[in-house]
Amino acid sequence: MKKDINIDVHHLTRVEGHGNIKVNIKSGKVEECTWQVPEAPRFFESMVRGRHYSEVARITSRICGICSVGHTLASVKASEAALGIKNTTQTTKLRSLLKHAENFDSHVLHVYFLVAPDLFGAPSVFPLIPTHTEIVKRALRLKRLGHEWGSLIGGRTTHPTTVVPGGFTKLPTAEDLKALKEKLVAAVPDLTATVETVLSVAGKVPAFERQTEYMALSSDEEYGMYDGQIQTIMPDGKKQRYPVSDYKKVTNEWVSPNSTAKYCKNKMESYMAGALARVNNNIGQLHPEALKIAEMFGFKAPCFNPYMNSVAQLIEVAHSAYEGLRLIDELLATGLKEEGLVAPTKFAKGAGATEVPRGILYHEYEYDNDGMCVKANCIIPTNQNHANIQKDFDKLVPELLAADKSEDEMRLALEMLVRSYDPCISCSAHYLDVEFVS
Amino acid sequence: MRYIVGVGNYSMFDDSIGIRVVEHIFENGLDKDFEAVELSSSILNLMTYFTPDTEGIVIVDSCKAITTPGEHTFFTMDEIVSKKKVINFSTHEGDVTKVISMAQELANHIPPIKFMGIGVEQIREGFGVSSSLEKNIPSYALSAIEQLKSL
Repeated sequence: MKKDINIDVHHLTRVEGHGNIKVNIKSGKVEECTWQVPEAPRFFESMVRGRHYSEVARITSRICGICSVGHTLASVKASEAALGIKNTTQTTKLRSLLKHAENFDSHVLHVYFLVAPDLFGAPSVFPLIPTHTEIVKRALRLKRLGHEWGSLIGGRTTHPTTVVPGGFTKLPTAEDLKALKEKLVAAVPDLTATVETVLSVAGKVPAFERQTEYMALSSDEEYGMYDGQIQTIMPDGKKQRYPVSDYKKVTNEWVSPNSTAKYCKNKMESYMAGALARVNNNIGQLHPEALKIAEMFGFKAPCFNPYMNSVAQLIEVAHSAYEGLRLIDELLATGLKEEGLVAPTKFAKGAGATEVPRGILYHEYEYDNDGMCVKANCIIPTNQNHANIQKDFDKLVPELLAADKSEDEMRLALEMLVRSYDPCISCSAHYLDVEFVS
Repeated sequence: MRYIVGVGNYSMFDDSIGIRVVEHIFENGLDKDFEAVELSSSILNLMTYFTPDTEGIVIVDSCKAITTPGEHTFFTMDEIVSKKKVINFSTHEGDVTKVISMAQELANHIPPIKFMGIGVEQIREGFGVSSSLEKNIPSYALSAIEQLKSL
């Protein structure tokens, strides 16, 4: 049927930040089909110039309210690479524990508050409060756990204060870690119930597939969350690794007329970063309990359905919880000793990478001989995903048209697709907009 | 436990005033018999503090309804109506008053809460706050602490 369709979603809801969807179909012919990012650049790289290495991470953590732990960790790792600072096993384990807290917290927010309304046929979480009260309460219990977990290790969940190059300014006590372990163990029934809830609506996850390249950190030591080398997996399952210092060669930033944000590509025209990319690259290193969840959803790597990113996030929620328990046990077994800010052994240029909920995050700094930052570069995962979202649009819209979907069905499918990537585009203001009751 | 909670976006100039007040409390060791919390944009986490052992919360935030920059007012949920059209909760989309309403609907324990709304001059991208707000940060902190004592 040669239909006309006009979709103009200005400021898509239930994503972090602002993005637009525009589709224009005339007489069955796709004339426009674009994912647009209109946000203004924020120039954080220039804000850290002239700042001392000890304060750079505190500034860059302000780039994002959700991934502030990730920005802190990528930042200190880049500073450490530039300044010749080595970490101890204890610091690496504590940072991993903090990284898992952020991943857990962010994924719970996304799966329950931003994705679930689509799966339950609700416009937002608000109508679900009276109809699915216990599910909303469970979501808030898990969210609270993520918040308390991150606050314990990072000083604060949002914009952590304890992480510095070489160590931590404040350590949790053994009693703190034991209490956190008890909370994580107590949360297992909520995790099980979450899997059952998502399984009950899994049939609503669209069955769209498009082969692409998936990029994530990968390590022989762990499931590439806190640390590792850059790895991509191609549609034929072939993997290749690159050192983090080569991050520019694999991101290849370019400018699209549809976006104020830069796009990225590696071997193919686009690649995907995020939970799906991590599971596709590192499925064999998931915790056995997380792997069980992957099997329950019939997840096979490489999975080419971008809507399954939310399922991959759920798998990672369990992985982070169980890895958190393992790390706590190991830290309790060895005991904790003070390891604070470490002095540089050189002043040069260095890159650092870590995984944040939305994908691989790169920071790079150059320092002068006084330890002042003279150059900075950050490549965030949402920007790495924009080109892949566009390529998904290019394949999905003709498929929806061929399936004779209505304009509303097409709009929902495109909105759900963007939401599944969990994009985090920029930060907004949070002022109170109220009227006083006279 | 009692809390003073700073809300806002640190990189959106005057929108960060709530966080700046909490920072001032931290830096000057004023958090003697209460906990100062930098909630920033993670407003859903406010519900973490809605527990039976919470005696009171003062939420410090920028407020558009106060038209004189630098001026501040204390008020409760009963004294305001939110004008924000919030579709959902995320760190970009949200409203502290709606978090409290949601907690009420879920029958959570709601401790005594007062808002400290501060009138702003400029909400735009950038670090810092307007001078009309910056000079008052110490007095905002003391007022918030005094208000907390009365809860």
